[in-house]
Amino acid sequence: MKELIIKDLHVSVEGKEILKGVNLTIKPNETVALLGPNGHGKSTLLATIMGNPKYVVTKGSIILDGEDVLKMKVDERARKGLFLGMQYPSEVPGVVNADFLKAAVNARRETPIKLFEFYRAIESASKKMHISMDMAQRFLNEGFSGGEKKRNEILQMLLLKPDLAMLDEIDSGLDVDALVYVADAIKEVQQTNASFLVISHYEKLYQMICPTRAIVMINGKIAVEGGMELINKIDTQGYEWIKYELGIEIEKDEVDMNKQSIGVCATKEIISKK
Amino acid sequence: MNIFEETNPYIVKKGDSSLPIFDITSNDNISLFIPSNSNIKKITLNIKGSGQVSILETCENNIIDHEINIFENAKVHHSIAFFKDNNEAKYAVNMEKNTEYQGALADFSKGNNTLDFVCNLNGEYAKSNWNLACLSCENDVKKMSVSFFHNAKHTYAKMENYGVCEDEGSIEFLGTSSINKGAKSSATHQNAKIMVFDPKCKAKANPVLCIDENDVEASHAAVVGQINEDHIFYLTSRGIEEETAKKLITLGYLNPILRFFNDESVLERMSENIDGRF
Repeated sequence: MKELIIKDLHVSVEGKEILKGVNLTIKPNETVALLGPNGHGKSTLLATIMGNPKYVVTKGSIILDGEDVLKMKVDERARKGLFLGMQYPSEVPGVVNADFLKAAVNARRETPIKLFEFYRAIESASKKMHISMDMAQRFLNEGFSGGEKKRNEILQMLLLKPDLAMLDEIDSGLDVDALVYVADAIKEVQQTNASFLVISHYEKLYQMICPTRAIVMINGKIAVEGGMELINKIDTQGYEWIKYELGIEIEKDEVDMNKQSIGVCATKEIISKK
Repeated sequence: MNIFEETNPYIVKKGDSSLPIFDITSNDNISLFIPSNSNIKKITLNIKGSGQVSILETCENNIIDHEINIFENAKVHHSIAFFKDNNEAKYAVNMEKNTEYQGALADFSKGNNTLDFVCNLNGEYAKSNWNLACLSCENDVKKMSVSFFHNAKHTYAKMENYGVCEDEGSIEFLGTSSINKGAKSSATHQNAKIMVFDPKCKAKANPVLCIDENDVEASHAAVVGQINEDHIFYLTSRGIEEETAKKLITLGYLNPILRFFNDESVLERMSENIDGRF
């Protein structure tokens, strides 16, 4: 990958506009930390880059090495080197983890991987993630704990060697040891000239993977850019200072109090009739 | 062993060639093979003894009636594979006290097939598990009816029917679980799932529970739905093409039935049948 250029990106989900003009360029070997309050569009940005059909691009462009990403199918984007480590990986019953991984590896190759070579690759990645080899024979993510699912995402990243790995809260649900395994895996892939776009709410992961840049998304736009000092400031002070220092009002979801506070259907009906 | 061609000290053959009756008595575990045979109208198996009798049966263009009588303490594992179309298979399984029947049917064949399976749990502590997986593509019509009748105390039955429907294929599952008067402390469960790929598919899952006794356990679930979009997104986001992703998910839906089959050549024919359908 030479560069990924996102220009004036507007994205809606179920008719509601979430991204309202995102501009971002990611170059090789960059690790970009993506921060921001809940519900302001961080995950939407990652899912849109990967091509989740639930997210509708209404305006703007995503260009990868001169090619229009928005015209590519999801699998094409992956084969061009994009990878999304998901916040909530799907459980797919019946699909054996090893069969899935093999199909994913083979999708990038002209000739199918030899069984022995595949076994060695899985064994090596499993060791790094401290995942038992038995997991390869289980159904994809089914019955995995939250931490196991996240480690399985990173295992896939190690096998698929992406050019741009987008990681969506990959550290949530991980214990202290597992966080180290994940950070080590990221550092290993960083050595290959790959770029990262990483969402996390915690400074700890960022300290371990040393982002080259930090950006903060507020109200569906990138509001602030900086370095590690920005991450430290958010870690200690939260996001309120942005309002005072930059004059940006942070939008909050409005909650209908009636729906929230009354739990008896009959009462709700009476109120709605009034 | 091939039940028609080979002899075995455990088996006594009676009846004529179109209506054969086999008396099977074994305290050891034995395996039998019932190959497709279009000359037969009805086959009767009387199974006695404490050994496990494993039966593998293949059906191709057959219209066959089956009666399987399982006598006290006997155990039967029965795996059925439908290969070519126009199968009309009827089964009546009659279970005495302390018996076990595990049935599995795989139908990945092209064409129209009908199943009418009835299991009568007549003796106390009779226990039965049933698993079915069925694929319907192009213009295939598959009608599968599975019924359990609990006629004694402490009986148990569990039914799992899975289907995948593509093109203009049609699948109809009818599941009947009936706990009759006197069958106290019995449990019956049924689960039907059909995955639908195309708008012209016809899929129906009809669960029926008839409960005529107290102190029983009964449950049913029936789902007809499309392939989960999130699953497709997850698989394609790893570079797997959408068609391959759908195939993996479909196989994942149907493949669990294969664990009930251990004959290599039958497994191979079933895989060929599935591979040829995408």
